[in-house]
Amino acid sequence: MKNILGSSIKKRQYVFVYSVLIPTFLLFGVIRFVPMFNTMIMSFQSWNLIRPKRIFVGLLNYQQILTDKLFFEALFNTVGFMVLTVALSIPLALFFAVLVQESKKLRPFYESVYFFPTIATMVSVTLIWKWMYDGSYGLINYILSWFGIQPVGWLASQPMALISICLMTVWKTLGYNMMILLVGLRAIDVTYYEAAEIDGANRFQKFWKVTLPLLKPITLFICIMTVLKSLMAFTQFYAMTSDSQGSPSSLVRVLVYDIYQRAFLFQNMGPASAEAMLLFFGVLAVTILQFKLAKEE
Amino acid sequence: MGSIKNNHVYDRLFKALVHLILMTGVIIMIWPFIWMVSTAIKPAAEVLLIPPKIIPSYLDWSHFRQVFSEIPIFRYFMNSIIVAGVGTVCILITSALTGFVFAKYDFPAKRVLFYAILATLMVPFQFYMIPLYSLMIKLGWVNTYQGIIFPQMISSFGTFFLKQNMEGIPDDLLDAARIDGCGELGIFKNVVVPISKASISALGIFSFVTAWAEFMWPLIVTMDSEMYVLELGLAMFQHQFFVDYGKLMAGATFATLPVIIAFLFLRRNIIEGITLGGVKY
Repeated sequence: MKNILGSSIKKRQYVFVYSVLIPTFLLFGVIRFVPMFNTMIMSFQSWNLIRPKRIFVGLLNYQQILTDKLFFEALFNTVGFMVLTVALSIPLALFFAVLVQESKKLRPFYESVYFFPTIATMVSVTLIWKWMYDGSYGLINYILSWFGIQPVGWLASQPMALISICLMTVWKTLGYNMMILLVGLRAIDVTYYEAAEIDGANRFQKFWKVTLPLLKPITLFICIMTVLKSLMAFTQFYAMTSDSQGSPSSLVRVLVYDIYQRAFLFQNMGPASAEAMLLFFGVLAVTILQFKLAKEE
Repeated sequence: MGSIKNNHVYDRLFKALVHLILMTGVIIMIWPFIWMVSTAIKPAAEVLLIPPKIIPSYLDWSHFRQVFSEIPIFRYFMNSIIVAGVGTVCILITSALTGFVFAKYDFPAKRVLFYAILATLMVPFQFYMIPLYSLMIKLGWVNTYQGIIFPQMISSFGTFFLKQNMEGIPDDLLDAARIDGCGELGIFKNVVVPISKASISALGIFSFVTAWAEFMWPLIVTMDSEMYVLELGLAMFQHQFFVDYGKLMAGATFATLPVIIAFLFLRRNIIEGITLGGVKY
């Protein structure tokens, strides 16, 4: 009797499992697996929306990308942006996380204020900063003038525009990185600090000898996340510099913009897919590096 | 004795320094938003003043009036609500059901199927957006709501996250419901969902905020200004005219206000929801 009941329940469970899995995997297939596979195929083909017949062209698309000056400009900008963003935002986030941890009563207030730019949307934030960066009427140049500093063309020339966008990005993501680090800080056992105190360690020694080593895994994690986000950065560059009449600067070309332009503005789907493949290999390399480093910990 | 007192003074000085630095940070974090509102509500003649006026000499809503008459910004707002709302509901349904199935049932090829979903977590959207766009053309979904929402209907992170959380539900509880004659879908609805309310709502907030901020896909898949989401409409708005910072800041204020209001009410949940999504980028 029990056996019969058990098997009918089992059958019912299978029906349920498959009626959930089949539609979800269809969706995953159509939205993820098939397009991912298609990018790979397309990177060896030549086609566009006007001439939709796809011709196999071998490695021609890759050759076209790897000999294109614009690709290297984009690569150079993206890597520069990534290095600068990581170099600025990780130490700053660490610094502010430790200070916020130190502040007792006002902590929720600080957390909320620092976190807010994270959820404000990128385009609005970029517009605000564009206004503050304005060469003639911008607030930042005005404040600098108090200290006798000559007006800076924040968005007017190439390396400066990249730096300006980087500073804004660091400002926007500081609170997020800080909150992740605070989770790590909270997890550190107080006894470590007590032991260090008994040994006569001062605040800075405690930070260098206890906090920093124990935070290493989570710091590595936000480093990798920042690297990946910087490789994918698009919105702030698009809103800050691309084809707008108001911005005196030329475009700051980054990899995702380069792909976007090739695919959706110039209809060169093949080379765009090849470039997407290259970007993916970059992301894959960073992800593998993360797993390797995390294992060492 | 003296050294203890010295220590005390040193401690208080240190605390004061900490708060001084943190308060400077607070000003840097908030100031851009204050400046945005200040620019938006001042009369046009005061926008480009040097030295700038932080508090306008009188309130002037004309920047807002101009924005509302020049672009259908309220329509953009509604588009964003529809896109982010429907997308979030879809993600919650698909992730909760799939997460539950992976957490609590045994079936052939379970591990392979789960890792297939998990693997897509590491693949950035920019990698497969081109074929996705050509699919939208084939389906005739370019410039439609379903086209904008479609890629946001599933979430590998959401599936993974809810699976992790639902594994903690005791099997006895599910078996008890089965003995009471509850079907599997009934167990999901009446037992699993109520227990997982906290993690489901965290995922909901995370998905909504992510979908609300989505920029690249709407840029690719929408053609008419009628279908713009707020982020896209705002970015295009600055391309329409020669730069008029008063108008731009009015638009930015309109877009940021709902975020500020939501943040004031749901501060804790939002911070938790977003940091939970730490694994996603």
